[in-house]
Amino acid sequence: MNRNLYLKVVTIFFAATTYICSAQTRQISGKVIDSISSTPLMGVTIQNGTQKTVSDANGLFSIALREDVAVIFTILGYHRKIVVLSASDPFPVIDLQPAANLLDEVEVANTGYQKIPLERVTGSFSVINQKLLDRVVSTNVLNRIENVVPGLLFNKGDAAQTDPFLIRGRSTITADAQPLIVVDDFPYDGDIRNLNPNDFEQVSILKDAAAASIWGARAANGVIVITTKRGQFGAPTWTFTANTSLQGRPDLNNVSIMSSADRVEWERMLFEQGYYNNAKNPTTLLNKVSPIPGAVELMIKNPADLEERLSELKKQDVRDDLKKYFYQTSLKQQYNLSISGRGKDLSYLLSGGYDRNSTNLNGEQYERVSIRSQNNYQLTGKINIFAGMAYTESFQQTGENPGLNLSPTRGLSPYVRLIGNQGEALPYYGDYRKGFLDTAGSGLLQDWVWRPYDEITLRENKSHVRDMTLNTGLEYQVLPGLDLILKYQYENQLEAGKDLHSENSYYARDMVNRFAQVSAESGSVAYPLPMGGILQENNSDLGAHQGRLQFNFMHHWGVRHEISGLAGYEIRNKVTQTSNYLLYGYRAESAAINSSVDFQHNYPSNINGNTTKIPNSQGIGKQTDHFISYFANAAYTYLKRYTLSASLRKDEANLFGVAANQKGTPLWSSGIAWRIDEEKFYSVSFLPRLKLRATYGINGNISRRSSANTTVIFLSGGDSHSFTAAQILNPPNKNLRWEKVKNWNVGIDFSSALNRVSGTIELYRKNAVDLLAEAPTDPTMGFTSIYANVGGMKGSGMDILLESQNIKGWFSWRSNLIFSIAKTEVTKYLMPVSSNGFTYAASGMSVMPVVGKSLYSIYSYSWAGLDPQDGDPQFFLNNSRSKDYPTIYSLPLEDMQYNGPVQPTHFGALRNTFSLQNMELSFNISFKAGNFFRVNSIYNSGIINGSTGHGDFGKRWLKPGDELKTTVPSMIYPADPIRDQLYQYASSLVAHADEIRFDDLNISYAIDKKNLGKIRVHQARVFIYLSQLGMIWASNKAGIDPDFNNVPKEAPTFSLGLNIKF
Amino acid sequence: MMNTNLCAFGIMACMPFLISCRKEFLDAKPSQSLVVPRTLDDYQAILDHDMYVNGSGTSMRGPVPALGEISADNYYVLDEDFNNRLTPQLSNYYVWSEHPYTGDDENSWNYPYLVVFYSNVVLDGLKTLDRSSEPEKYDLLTGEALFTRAHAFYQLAQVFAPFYIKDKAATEPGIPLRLSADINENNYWATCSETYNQILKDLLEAIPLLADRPLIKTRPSKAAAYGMVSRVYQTMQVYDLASIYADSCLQIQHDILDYNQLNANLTYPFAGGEQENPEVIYSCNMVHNSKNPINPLFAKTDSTLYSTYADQDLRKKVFFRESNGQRFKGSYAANTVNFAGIAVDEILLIQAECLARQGQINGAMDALNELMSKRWDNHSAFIPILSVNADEALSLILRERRKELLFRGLRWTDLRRLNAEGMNIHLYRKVNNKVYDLPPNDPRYTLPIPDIVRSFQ
Repeated sequence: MNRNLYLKVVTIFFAATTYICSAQTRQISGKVIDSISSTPLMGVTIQNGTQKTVSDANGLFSIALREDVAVIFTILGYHRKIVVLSASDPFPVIDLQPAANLLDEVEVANTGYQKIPLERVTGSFSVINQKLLDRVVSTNVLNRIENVVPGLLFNKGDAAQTDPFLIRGRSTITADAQPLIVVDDFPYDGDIRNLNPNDFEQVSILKDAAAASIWGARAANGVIVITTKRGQFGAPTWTFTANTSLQGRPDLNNVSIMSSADRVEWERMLFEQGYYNNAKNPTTLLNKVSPIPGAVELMIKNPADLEERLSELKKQDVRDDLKKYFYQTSLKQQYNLSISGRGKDLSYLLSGGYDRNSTNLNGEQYERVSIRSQNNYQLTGKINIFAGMAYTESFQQTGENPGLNLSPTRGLSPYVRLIGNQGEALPYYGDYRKGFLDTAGSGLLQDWVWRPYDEITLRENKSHVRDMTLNTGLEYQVLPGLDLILKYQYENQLEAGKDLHSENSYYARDMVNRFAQVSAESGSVAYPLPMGGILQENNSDLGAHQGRLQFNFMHHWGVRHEISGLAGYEIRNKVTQTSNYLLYGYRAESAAINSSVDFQHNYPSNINGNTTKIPNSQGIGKQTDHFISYFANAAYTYLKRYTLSASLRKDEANLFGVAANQKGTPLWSSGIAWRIDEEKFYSVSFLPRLKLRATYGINGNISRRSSANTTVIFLSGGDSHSFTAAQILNPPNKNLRWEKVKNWNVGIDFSSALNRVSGTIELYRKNAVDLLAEAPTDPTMGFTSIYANVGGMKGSGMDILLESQNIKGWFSWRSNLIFSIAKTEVTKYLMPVSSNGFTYAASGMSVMPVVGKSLYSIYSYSWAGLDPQDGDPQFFLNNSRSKDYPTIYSLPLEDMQYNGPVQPTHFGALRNTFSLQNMELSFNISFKAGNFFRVNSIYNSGIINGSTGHGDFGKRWLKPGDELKTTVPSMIYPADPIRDQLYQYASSLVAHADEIRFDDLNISYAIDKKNLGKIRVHQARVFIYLSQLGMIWASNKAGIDPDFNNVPKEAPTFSLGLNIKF
Repeated sequence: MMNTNLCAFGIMACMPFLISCRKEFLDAKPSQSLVVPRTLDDYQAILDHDMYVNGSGTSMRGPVPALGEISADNYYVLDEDFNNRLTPQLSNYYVWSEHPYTGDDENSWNYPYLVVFYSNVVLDGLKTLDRSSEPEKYDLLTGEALFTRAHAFYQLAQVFAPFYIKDKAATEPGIPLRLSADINENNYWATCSETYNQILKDLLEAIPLLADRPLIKTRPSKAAAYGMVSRVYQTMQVYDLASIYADSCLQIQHDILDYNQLNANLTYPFAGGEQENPEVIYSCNMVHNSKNPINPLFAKTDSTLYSTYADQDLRKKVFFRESNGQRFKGSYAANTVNFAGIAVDEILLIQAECLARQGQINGAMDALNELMSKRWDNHSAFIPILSVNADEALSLILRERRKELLFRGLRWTDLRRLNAEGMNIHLYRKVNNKVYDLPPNDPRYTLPIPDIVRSFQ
């Protein structure tokens, strides 16, 4: 801040107060303009104490003032300016500096209820401005807020299966952990992919209690508040954005698979050991049907050129065919055009966007059309009416292309060929043996062969989403300093999912054939499951009405006291209806008929002889969320130095129990901020801005899993009678209530002289209580466990944001560093999931709470190396090497090794921006640390059953001495599944996930104010953007990229883009 | 200024409207698939969930604890089965351990209380409904729920409360009486007399509300309630009232199944099940567990007891099968689960016993013979049993009572009652060459409250 100006203002204020007694009121007229374009600015608030007016379309204003007083000029998007209007100046022209021109300096956070200047807040806010949002090219909004603010973590790799993104760690056991997303002041209920990030002006992240608690029972996970663009500039301004992104095929070799040569020799060993004897001379239907590896089929056939053909197979790698034919280079295109402006009484914005994406998987496409408009109408000086709408329509289509995951249940054979020499699809006998298919149904059935490459186009899995949001409202100035705001929003999202396996698809043919009833004598076939395609439709209809009545107030008493706040209530009604049904015998040219399908009768199946019913799937569902909330907050500032804030909110919902609704205590927060730099004694010249703040409060979280009422499901009959019976699902719990997260946050904001270094450091502590979890209960109640508010967690951490201007001038260099620590652990959980430690090791990414540990944790068996005699895995049991697998397998959790959390505890990013005149280059490097992942390896029992097998097979123990070089056990037949499972969860197969990544790079060239032909360009920018640039460093010794742990590794993305304002 | 007032007035006017519909708004059902029971039919459906409420089929649940039968003297378990097929907790019951609990769920406590919960949900729900729209249905449901709850309380008291002795009952502990479904309400630990008073109160209140005979036998009826009251009075040794209520019950239902009609060679001769059995008044089963010592797969009937069946007594073939001892196959449930409901045979035997105790020897013997004639092989003539001596009559009747009501959850109460009256029945078990015994009136005749329940008090 300009200290001179500040001194001036203080002096003027001082002078002004001495005038008060004698001064006379008179009318002063003037004009407000944009400091750069000199265009008049409309809607600027001009205020002196209780005197307030707004500039008109020509930027003109008139205000009644006592002589020579300081007047504050404010409008969103511009810097606030304080000017002393003197009688000597007959027509003052005030120029306001656009905020966007001051790089990265953001002043206002939006909570969804009010906009607060960051300099006055007590709580923890992070703000992402438009420039930063536009730096990234993406269809989805979430990509644009990644790695730019502290405290917001996007989990990657295996951890992504836990929580996709979190603000300051997870603080719930079973309820939803995703932050609340608010768009234009109301919670957004639709799919986040409906939102076009080009429409965004700003994103505020609310992290602590003081920031978020205005959202009450939904605030515990933090809040992401998205503000869309509004009409702003005087003359109509067009903005056009276009970009195209290309991403190469993923690296399939990142997935380790057993080499084809190893595989063939392994299968030969199994064959010689007699594992395939039943398949050799099949006597049962099961043996005829169950698929066996291609190499074994050859061995059974035993042709003269067997060895030659086997060595052919050994050269195959199924990933080559997959990469070439199933994967592709993805292409993403994005266009957006908007017009906005501000007329005499009206401001408007109309924006349209179009996205078209193809993904790396052949056959996948996504298209999105979005339209948004927002209009404000100044009815009188006191009443402002606004209305807006947003409409998004998207189409997503995928074919039958699971990529490398082609045969998830049986495992894809590494040497199988999917594509012939002429590029034709080859059959894959991965489900049934060829011999069975050739003779099944005496040759009367339709083709039963699976040709995976053909299947890509034979399935149309489409999702069509239409989302419409309408909002309207008014602002009315009841009294100077007191505004009434009424807002209403309606959102409707319709989603139609249509998954058609066409009549020629393998899926449909397989289903039809399985149920076909062949009569051998007559040679006729009956089709209980009719021939034709199989269509699954899923529809959902979400409707949400939200209304809000709110008073905003603001008052100054001289320069000493300032109070601002709001109070109001809101009501919310969200209904989601779903329906789904399945149709058999679908033919594109005629209507589907499945009325003739008999779902009651049991039919013998052609693949196993079991009698089963034809699967049927129909259902409807309806979910209703009702909320009534009352809220208030206020901030009081004294001498511009001390700010006290408090907020209060009470939620009542149909998800809570009667007691919680009637007597429930409100959620609240309070905070304090101290501008040390404003103190007279403060004289640290190198740190002209210094602010301390602290907050405490309670945020809530809700779960839809439990009901406060007794709920039942109906059964079609009892066990001994046919009257309807009803089973009680949960007992009535009138005390069911929201979860509570108690939050402490202390922060310091500072900046050095000339803003060279500025930043924020925050420490926080969270204590989550009343978490919903299963708990044992007195069985006298009729239940041995109950889902109630009984769990607890705690968390603590730190968020740091540092910005520095390393070099200023014609060449500039700026750095932005974000760093966060977020640790959470369970403090109270009454019902241990299992007494057996193995359950925890094998839990994958499911929630298995253990007191004192992070909610998602990795446990393992202490590795004790391989047995030098036979290559068996050994584990430490009571401090000595053991191969007592059953005993180790049944160890309790306490006797297992705790490795650590799945989610990173330390994370951050460093962004450097260099500019040289109109050129700008920036790149982001991010890091994550403190978490662990499990390294994949070979599973002995699996490769006997035919699963794909891991490349570690090549590193297995073969002879004494190998134990010094490898940790992969010997592969034995027959296998011992317990030995295999213990090895899978051995401590040797757990690695640190610490990593540093090169996130992205943006190079742009900007042109300001040029005339291109007849069009006057305000601003134009062309850029190249590279993302997913890969890992720079990882701590694990195996060289595994923790973000792509044994999955196809994404290739870098290259984008080219253009933004023009004219 | 006028404008401002108007506006404020408008907002104030909206508020009461909002408040008045608030309750309805907040009561909306969050999910359609979760049904919140609201109608009489919904509540009937809850009581008709026979797997939980009656323990029908092989649900392993039910209102009747198995611990009494497990502790009683109708069976024994071979050492190898004791060592290999029982859990530690279940084998502790078999040898009358003072502290049997090892941390396993005690379903003999949990499931009867689940039945109490179901009844309470219905009783609580009925209070929120208006009786006048369908008074008959409303009353019937009230009666059913009261009966179901009282029946479960009675069953729990037979195992977990001391035997009812008039002079001591007011001071001895009973069982927790849960009279509401609200989980936030604490247990009320009643005295023994309060427990029995509650049981009788509920049953007597239910009688006028119930139909004579039920639509299905898993639903309570007037006959069942009379029969139940008769059984409760018998347990309380108020034999004159027990006799009156037995009579009331038999006036409604008096059918006895002639065992000559059965195919004794079947794995389970009562193949029709409880719903079809004319003798059954109220259908319900004992809590079951495949590792229970009384599981007929390995429980062997006491050999002395087995030897008391005459060869012409059809029960010898209908109830038992040789399988390294005598395996019981006579459950009216027609599977390994033990029938533990109310049937005409039991009520006839109560009547006979009470008449004998009142000295009405002829009436007592008539009742006994009426039953026995239907158990006798019709290939040889049934000779009615005669007695001239009240004591002899009583002991004849008690002997037939044990033989008829085998594995029905009644023996434990009979042991407690008869020992209290001085019958001096001393129980012994021999396991792995070690002898365990249970002297008459031993404190272990009351099973301890499960540890988990204690931990919550």
